[in-house]
Amino acid sequence: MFTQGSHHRRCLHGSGTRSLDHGFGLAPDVTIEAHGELPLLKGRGNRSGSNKHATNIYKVDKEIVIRHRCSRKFRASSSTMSQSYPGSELSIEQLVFALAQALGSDSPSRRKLLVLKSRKVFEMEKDLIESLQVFRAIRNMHVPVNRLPPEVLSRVLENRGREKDLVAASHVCQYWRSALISSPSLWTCLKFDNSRGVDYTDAYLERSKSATIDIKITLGGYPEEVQKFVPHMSRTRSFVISGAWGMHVASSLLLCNPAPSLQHLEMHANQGLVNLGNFLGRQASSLRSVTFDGIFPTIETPFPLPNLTEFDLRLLKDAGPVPMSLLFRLYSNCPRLQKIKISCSMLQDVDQGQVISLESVVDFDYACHNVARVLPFLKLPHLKRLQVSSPLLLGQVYELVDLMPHGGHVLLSGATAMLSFSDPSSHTIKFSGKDAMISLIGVGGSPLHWFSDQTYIPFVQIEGLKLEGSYVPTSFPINLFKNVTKIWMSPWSDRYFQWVCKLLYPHPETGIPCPSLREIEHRVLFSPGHIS
Amino acid sequence: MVLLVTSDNKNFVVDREVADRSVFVKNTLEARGLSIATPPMLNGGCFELTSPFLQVLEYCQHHRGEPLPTTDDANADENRKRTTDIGEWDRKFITVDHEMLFEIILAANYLDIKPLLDVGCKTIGNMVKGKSPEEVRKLFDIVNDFTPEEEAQIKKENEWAEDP
Repeated sequence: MFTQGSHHRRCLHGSGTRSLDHGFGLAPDVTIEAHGELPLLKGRGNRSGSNKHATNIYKVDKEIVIRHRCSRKFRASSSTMSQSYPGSELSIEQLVFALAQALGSDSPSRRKLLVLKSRKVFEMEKDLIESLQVFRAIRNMHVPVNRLPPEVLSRVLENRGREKDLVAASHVCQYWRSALISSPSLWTCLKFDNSRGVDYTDAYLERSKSATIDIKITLGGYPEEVQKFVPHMSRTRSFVISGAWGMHVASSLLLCNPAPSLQHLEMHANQGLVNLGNFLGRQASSLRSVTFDGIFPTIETPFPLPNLTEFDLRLLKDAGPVPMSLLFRLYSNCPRLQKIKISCSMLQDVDQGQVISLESVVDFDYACHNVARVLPFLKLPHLKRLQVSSPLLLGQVYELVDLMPHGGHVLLSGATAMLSFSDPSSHTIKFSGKDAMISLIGVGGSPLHWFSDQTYIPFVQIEGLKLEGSYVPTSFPINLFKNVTKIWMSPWSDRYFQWVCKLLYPHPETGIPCPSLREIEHRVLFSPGHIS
Repeated sequence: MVLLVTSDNKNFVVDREVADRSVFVKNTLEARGLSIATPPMLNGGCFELTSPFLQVLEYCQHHRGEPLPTTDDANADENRKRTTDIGEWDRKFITVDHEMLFEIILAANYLDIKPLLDVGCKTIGNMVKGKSPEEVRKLFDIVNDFTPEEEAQIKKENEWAEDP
């Protein structure tokens, strides 16, 4: 009845007798001796199995649950372990046997004995559990991986990116838990949503100590726990908030609390114009990047953002019209602004004749409908990368200079590679060179319509030509690609191929094929082919 | 050339460029103007270097001449730690048994060779990635030593890490 199946055991191999001293919290009158194999107790899974078994045997009183655990312990102990308690003349085996007999008896005296002795058993069990736990902790101290100092162990988990791995690692053993919990840098990334309770927030805020933190909040409501972040805004490095209640939470956290360490602010909501007061300038002067998705911050007075380098604005139709002058006013207060991204369907036109110069901008991504009425009024003298994406008006023919920032066509002069990509809904033409890259994306049509004037397109300089998709830019004068050395093709139509093959035949004027062309790589659907 | 003496009195003569991969050795040599570096005693006992030291020397030989990470560039340190990729040579180098892996990491930590420490830490990090606590215990021969109270707390914490 008190034996345990071997599959329920995990054994420690040792020899001789080992005593645990009292330095690890053992009761002073407890000694544990392990002879040969010391069985260790298993976790919950095995316990439940034992309980079922024990329930069939004992059906006595309210202490049955404790006794179940008790019987499991004794099964583990009886074979290889002996304990001696002062004042107890019975061995554990004898005691348990006596208890089992008492359980099956109706005699009051036996019942009395049961109560008396079971108390002793429970005390012994408690001590045994504690002693085993201490023994396991001591054993863990000697496994090779736990020779690594805490700072190295925390380095293992640093920047792993997965919260699940970090939490799992903190549940491995006491040493790992202690090492990881006492490493603030591991607990700086808080992802708060309605499903995470106050314990989570408290634990992360406490474990991160005074380290700078990154907060990501996704809300479907407005839980009070969010207010816990208030005292920690001063050490917040990154703040990302989204959800229907996002702006209410953001307002309560941002507007009243200085955030001098805040470098990245990202707000996703569908609120249109939102008054952020003077938060951006006065209380978050360290900001380096902002993303406003579905909102546009109105400002009471111009505010300087001396460290801001990235500005990403995404506004849908429902957000209402945004005055371009307001946007430019905002940009002009950011002397280090390098990267601008605007995706907006309701951006108002620029006041005609006004040219805005943004000296520090090197990367500009513009995805709006009114390209021709905004970009020519922007001066970006240090631009290195330009991406313009716009729905094309059917039948409309544009001039290239109308579709670029003021003077931006000079970027084309250094281009040595060209890509044409098309799918059923858009067409992309990309020029790239050593110093600059330009992408023009026509949504719903081909930006070839933009090139009524092809003067600025450096066909002669192009060395690499990549043609992808279903549409062939046959309106380009193929014979001008005089210096092309390699062509990649993955068209969905043979028309590309026929167009490109003109380069292989004698030029009508010179009588020779394209002299520099060395290679054509042709992929049709998913069957690669190669012509050289 | 530099003579390095391990705590068990084994001598290793290496190029200064190789020895300087260890910030500890580099600083020791520079501070004392010596060409012999001996490890100090740790907690009253010798730090056994010989076995992993051979491995560490092999690493330093291979990476000699590469720029050393600077202590004042916190961003570079962060980026290096953030990258989980391990180079081909480093990956083969660090493919050793667990015991040696931990010894190498300890040596790298002691000798202050951050790139090697990162390789070791990333290797262990990749081992535990996606594993449950029980699987990690099994991997490193650890037993569960939590008290029932700690177990209860851990059970609550498990809810935090639910994947969205």
